[in-house]
Amino acid sequence: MLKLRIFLFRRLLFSIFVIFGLSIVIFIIARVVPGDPARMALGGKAPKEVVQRLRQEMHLDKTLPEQYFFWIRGVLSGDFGRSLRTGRTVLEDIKIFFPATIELVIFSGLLTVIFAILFGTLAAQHKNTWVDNLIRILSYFGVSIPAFVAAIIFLLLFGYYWTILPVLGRLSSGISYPTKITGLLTIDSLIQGNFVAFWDAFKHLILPSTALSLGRLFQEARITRSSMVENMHKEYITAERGYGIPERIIMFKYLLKPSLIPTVSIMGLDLAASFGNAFLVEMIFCWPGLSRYGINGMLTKDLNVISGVIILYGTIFVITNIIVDIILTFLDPRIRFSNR
Amino acid sequence: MRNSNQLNNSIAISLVRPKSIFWLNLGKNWYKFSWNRLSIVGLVIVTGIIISAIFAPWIIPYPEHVGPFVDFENALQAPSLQYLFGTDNIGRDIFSRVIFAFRGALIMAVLVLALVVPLGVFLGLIAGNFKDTWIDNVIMRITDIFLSVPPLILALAIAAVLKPTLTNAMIAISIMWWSWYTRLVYGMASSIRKEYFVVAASLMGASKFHIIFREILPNCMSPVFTKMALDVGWIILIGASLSFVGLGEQPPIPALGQMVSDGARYMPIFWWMTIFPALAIVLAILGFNLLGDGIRDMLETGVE
Amino acid sequence: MKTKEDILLNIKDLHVWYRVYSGYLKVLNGIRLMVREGERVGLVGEAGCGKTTTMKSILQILPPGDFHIPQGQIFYKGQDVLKMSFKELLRLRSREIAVIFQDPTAALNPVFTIGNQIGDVIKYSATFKDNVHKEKIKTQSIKALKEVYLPDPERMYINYPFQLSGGMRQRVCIAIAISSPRNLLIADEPGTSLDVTIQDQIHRLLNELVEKRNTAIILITHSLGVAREMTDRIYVMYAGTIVETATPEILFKNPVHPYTKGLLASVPKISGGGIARGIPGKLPSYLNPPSGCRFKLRCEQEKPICSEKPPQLLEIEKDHLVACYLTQR
Repeated sequence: MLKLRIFLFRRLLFSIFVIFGLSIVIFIIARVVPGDPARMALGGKAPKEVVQRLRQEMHLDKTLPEQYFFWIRGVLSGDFGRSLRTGRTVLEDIKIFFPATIELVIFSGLLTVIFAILFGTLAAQHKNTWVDNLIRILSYFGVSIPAFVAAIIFLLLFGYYWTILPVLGRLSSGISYPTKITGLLTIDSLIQGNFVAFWDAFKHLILPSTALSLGRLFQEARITRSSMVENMHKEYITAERGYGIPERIIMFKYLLKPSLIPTVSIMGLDLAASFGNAFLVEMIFCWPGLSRYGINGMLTKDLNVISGVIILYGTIFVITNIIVDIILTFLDPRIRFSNR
Repeated sequence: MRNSNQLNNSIAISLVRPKSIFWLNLGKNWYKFSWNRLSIVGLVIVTGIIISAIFAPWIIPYPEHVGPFVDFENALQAPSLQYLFGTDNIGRDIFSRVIFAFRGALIMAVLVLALVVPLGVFLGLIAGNFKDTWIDNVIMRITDIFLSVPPLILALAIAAVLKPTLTNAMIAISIMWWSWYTRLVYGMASSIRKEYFVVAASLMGASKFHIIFREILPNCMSPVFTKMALDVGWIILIGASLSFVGLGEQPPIPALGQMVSDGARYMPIFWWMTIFPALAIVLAILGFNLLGDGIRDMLETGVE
Repeated sequence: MKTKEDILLNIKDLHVWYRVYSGYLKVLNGIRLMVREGERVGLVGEAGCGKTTTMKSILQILPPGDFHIPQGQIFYKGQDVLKMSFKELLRLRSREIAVIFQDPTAALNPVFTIGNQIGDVIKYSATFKDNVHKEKIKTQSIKALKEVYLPDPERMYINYPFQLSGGMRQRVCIAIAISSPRNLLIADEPGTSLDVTIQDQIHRLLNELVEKRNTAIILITHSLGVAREMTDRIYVMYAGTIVETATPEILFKNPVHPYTKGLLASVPKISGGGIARGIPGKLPSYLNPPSGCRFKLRCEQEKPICSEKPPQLLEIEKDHLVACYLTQR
């Protein structure tokens, strides 16, 4: 177990280094922008002295490394500055909008994991039959349909032609929000026993999550399938069959575990990436999430928003990778005992 | 007692020169590629797209419609023989614009790859060869930083702080795309350099330069080519996502994502404004994905 | 007391084909093999002659979908394996016959502990009457590990295969095979991938276990020397056919088939005599096998009749059968 701890520690250290590197990159990009941030904050009509004073406050008159230092110090204490657009601090905005994105991403992640493993296993077991071919064709389409195209098609289909599922926002207008505990509407309403709100929030989640998970789901199913097919022919599976272990156990225990290894890595990457892809879905379905907020910030050149959101997502990405690595060490013991 | 010539010759036979081998085995390679009919479908689609993109200005029915052009009388016409995909809200033929938009998408993909692949492969080779030295560490740590951000987010951020043009969108994507190739080649290079033919070459006195570029590089190229084909699809997707949000080509030059976003307002009645560009995106990505899979079947052994 | 009268396994005229792109690999061409209770049988042949295929056919664990058995029967205790239902096959594999695979590294699942793998084999080989709770399985597993002389079996139980050396992995495979009582063991070139001293230890271990339990064993090997020491009857195999079979004494004293003679002459003698002669040529193609006797292309005494149809195994003296037209007039 000691080796496991050393491994984790090294990963953690490395991740911190990566996040710092990311912050430097973001900082440089933000400062590369032509234009004076102070003037942009105050508007064109503000008098020169006010602008000058703001520049001093924002440390814009100091050298770049010094500016970075001040900025990082702020970031580490949670101060990302103020949003030009909303006027609130970025931190407040994050607290408001982030839970919506988390709920979306988690739900979409669950969908992806369950169906990717299901479809992949089915395709592998019925290799080269119509089941396999159907899943293969679906996977080509799934990968080729970008999230926003899927979202628009859903909007068209369910918004106008077949209105069984709601398409806009998180909650229908007649229903009141449950009191905020986690910010995740489904969890909050469950905790309070408010089943009406829960069911409504759940229905609102279905379409955006599906649009978000479509591409990844089928690709991960393909990877699961090819991994299972590859392992199916391995000698140890034949051996286990020869020892008299029932086929069912071989499939679901001895074949599944080693086959999941490549799948889990991809799932982790995809999950973290879906935070970014979520913005398209959020825009189309009017989902008040952080990704949409970040994009609006980008379009209005709201630098604090941009840096804040990117650092947050970068950190999430890194943390997700660490979690995936931990899961991998449980799946494949060989990783625990070898060096990087 | 063997002389050095004999030794050279006998070892030289075992050295691999994949480029010439590819063309010599064209028949067998084609068999491997075409074994899966879908790969041929991909090839057909891609060829169609490339041809229509190259010859766009000459084959589209309404060349003026891709520039500043307004014709309110013919606005919002349904698809017909005259306007194959219908017209948009200011009367421009959607078919012409879609074909022309392929141009922009492909140019972007080609340029990005032309920039990114040499750089990424080069860095990966160097890092892989000098593994466990400071060169390796520096290169791979920087690569990891760029890999640690979800691609779309970084591209958006960069595109956002720069002016929204096609060039800047390309720069945005390029800045982080090279890292994928570096990691890919790094993994391959570090394992290939332990192979016997590389060790033999260095024992014979080959220079480092020769080893890296003449021995190791050709053997890394298969997954690189596969990735390049698949990446065209990805770049088209990211380009469409960028232009959907408004970062990328500016009107009146058509871009696929931008057309989808423009047309969204007019749904569901004037569905053709959105659906056709969306279908075009899907078709392009599908084609390149199928092609990429076919290339993988052809170049890499072990079909499923 | 050993009774060698009851026939345990009886393979009759087995043909096995593998399906490939360009047709069929007709690997096994009429195998005849018999194992009695408690008997130690050696199956000797060069690499690629079909020994592993034969072994896999007995348990029906050939790669699914890729093989074809046009004719033949495999009788185990009077029942034809090829016609067995799935449930009967399961019973066969879990309680009657056990295989020790050639490459222990490939035969063990890398992501599960040794204890897990042995435990499951024991669990699924138990009858309904036995109690299958975890403690009993664990004790039985550790007992099996002890019998193969593995050091520190308790720790071995929670180890993973990659933490063990090759020799230890081979012992684990043997432990799995003997973890519950069986009537027939099939050892596919045990210890081949390890160095000779370890291989020798493995063979002695097998011998001891077989003696103790009165289990029958088919020892597959490419070495006649090993077969001579460890078996009661040797079957010599070439290109998917049995060419000669006899007890070791008779075989070494009076080899009849040209292939057997060639094999024996290929072994260098410590007592001198120069470099051993080999047998020129190589195995025939299974895709288009030669008609008639499959050894004819390498045989120095080939006759026209050898190309007509494959020679049958005929008894030329007691306990000595040969498949060759040279012995028949």
